[in-house]
Amino acid sequence: MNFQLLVRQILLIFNSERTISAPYHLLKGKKSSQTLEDAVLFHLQPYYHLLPFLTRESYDAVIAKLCQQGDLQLTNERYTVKPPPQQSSHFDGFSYRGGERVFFARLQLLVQTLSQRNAQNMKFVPVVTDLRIQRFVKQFLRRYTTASLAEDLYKEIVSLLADEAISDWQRLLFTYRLSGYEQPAQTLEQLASTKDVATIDAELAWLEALHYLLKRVESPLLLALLEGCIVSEPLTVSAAKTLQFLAQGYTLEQVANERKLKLATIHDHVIEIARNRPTFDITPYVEDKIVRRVHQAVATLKTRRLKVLQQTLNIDYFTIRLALTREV
Amino acid sequence: MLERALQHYFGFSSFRPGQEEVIRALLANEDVVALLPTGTGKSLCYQLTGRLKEAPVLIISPLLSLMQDQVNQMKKLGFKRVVALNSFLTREQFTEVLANLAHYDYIFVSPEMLQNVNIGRRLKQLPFGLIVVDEAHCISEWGHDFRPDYLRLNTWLKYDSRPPIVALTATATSKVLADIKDVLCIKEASMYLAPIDRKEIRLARQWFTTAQEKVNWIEEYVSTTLGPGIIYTSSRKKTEQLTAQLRKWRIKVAAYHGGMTNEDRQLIQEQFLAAELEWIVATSAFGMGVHKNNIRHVIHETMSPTLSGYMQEIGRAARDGQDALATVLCTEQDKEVLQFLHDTVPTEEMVRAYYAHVSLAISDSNAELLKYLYANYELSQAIVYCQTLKVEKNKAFQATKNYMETSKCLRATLLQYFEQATVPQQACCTQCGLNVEDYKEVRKFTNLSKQSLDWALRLQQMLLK
Repeated sequence: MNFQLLVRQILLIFNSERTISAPYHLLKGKKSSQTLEDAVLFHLQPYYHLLPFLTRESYDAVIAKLCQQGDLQLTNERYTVKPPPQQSSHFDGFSYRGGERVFFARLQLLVQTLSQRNAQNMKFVPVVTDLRIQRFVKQFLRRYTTASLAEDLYKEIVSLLADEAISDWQRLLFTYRLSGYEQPAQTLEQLASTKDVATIDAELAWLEALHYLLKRVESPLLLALLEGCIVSEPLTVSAAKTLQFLAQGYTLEQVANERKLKLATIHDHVIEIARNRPTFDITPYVEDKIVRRVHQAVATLKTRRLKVLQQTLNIDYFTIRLALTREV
Repeated sequence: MLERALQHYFGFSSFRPGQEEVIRALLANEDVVALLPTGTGKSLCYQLTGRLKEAPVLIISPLLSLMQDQVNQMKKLGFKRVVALNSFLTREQFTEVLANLAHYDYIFVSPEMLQNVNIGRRLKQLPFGLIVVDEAHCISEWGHDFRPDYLRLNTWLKYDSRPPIVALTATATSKVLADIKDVLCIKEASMYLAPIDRKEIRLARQWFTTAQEKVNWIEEYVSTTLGPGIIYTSSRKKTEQLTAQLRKWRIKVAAYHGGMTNEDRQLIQEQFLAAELEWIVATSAFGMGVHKNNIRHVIHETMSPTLSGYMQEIGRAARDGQDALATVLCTEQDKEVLQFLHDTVPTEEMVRAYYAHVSLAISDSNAELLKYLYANYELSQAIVYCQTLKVEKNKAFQATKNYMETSKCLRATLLQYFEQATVPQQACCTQCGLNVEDYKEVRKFTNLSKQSLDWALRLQQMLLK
């Protein structure tokens, strides 16, 4: 899926219930509770945190382009977008949140090191400067000391890339972004130019392949490289702490006092917990009948805009947001 | 004995001009100011001295990206205990490095870091055998890359057990050299001024009426001439446009500028080194840390703002001592743009407003300068300072403009600015009868086939023996 279609797709799903900037924050993976909530509420998890390095400039440029092409119309605070052609994608940003990039950086450094080792030349400038990645690969090499390591890794990569769900273009993006002895990697911009596509579209094709493939890794070396790259605990550290207090029977106010945090922050935590734990009991904080009222209002008003719901129901925002996490 | 050490540690059999003298003086614990042109192995001077003195070396370096590159290069050469103390480190890494300072043989540090009382004190406790002030011209406001932070060095450098200092630079006028000695308080320093002329670099100049004509000329030149070469332009956008233009000719070319990620810039450099790229279209961000010996062409799509900058940029060519061509392309508009670039010194009104705490819209560089002035000078001094700076900047502009316009020898004009004389030579420059065609190697295949990519083969080549 190219960048234009992606933005159109997200805008379509938001259905003008959020601002024109919402897809930008979603793609950047903004950690605010609004963005995280939206990702779940609108089932947009696949696109969350896809492009952490996206600049506002390039986002605005694509919005302008869409308007110019007539695919998008902006009218004060609302927009209408032409539905993009139906297509499926393998994105799963919510499960990785940048972890896929960590995996790939580890792989880049490992392949470079093994390649240099094969050439018996260990004097090289590492392609990855991040010291955490360097430390990881050092430890990895201490753990895996077999002579056939490079060959084993080669076999694992080849069999992973053999998957028919990905294209040759994606295989190129994967392999040519790796560096070896006297074979520096190509930049995304260079690879994109060989196919006359925009750099960001090449990046998306590469990401999509990673998102698809990494879930199918079953071989030992690649699994070891994946360590910690897929989010298994979706709660932020702070929300997890709040959950501990709640489990001990603290009230929201007590948690706020105990943790020296604002009540609003604790509210955000409760929403985050409710959203991620379907079994979390919300009845201590909102009555069942209020939950039903909110759900009815969503159905009749055909909107999830908090402002509209708040004005109609005259219930506070926290209660509405909490009720929305239990919407069927 | 020195040559044996050179052979032992670096595998070279002889020194380049200047290196040996500098090292001898440092071994005799003298302070040294050394002007060694780009590409003559400045860093070897302190690397070898450190080894021979068996003592750690502190290298003060003003440019973050350069610092990282120097560390990388030293590691590549096999120096393991090298570290850079700068803002790239995370807090944890920083604490870790600081706790283990004694472990390192070569410590790179930015001038700002030395202002940190804690770090400054910790460093003074180390038994350094040498302190290096790299890119020392940045100390002088008359230099082309002035860093106010560098001036504060003089307080830090005053301590009893201070080892000898070596100030290294590739380009400096006598005024700048005097400033370096002043600021570093090394009045008695030995001076090593290597001749900065690079006779193997032939100088060419070409005039055009429009910017488009330049682009056409570059296309024609690059599509028919064998590289490797660098084309310097004045903006990021231009590097990208020109690259796209040249790619149409299937030329192996890439853009390089400060807006790219560090990783991407590193890759482009390595591709250039590995001859996977033949031409680089770059802003002035490209150059430092490029260790390629056989660059044959440096084309300036736009003239550098200063002759010092120009000298450094063309100095990247011909490190192997073979002939190379440095061509500058000029239009009348370029002169206006240059003038504008030099017109950036704070005016008297700006200085007065700043001192009176009136908020005003100014450029980053002016803001930095005013902040420095405010901290160190009275209002009247600051005004005089800016006036003098304006005069100096104007001189630098006139010199650059003169290089573009002169009907005299280009080499003589260039060297005159650095107060050095020329040795007459054949085919010196286009003003002295240089025929550029004699120095161009014709590209045999103008229509190169499109690069074919094979993912399976690439993986094999990288991972299988």
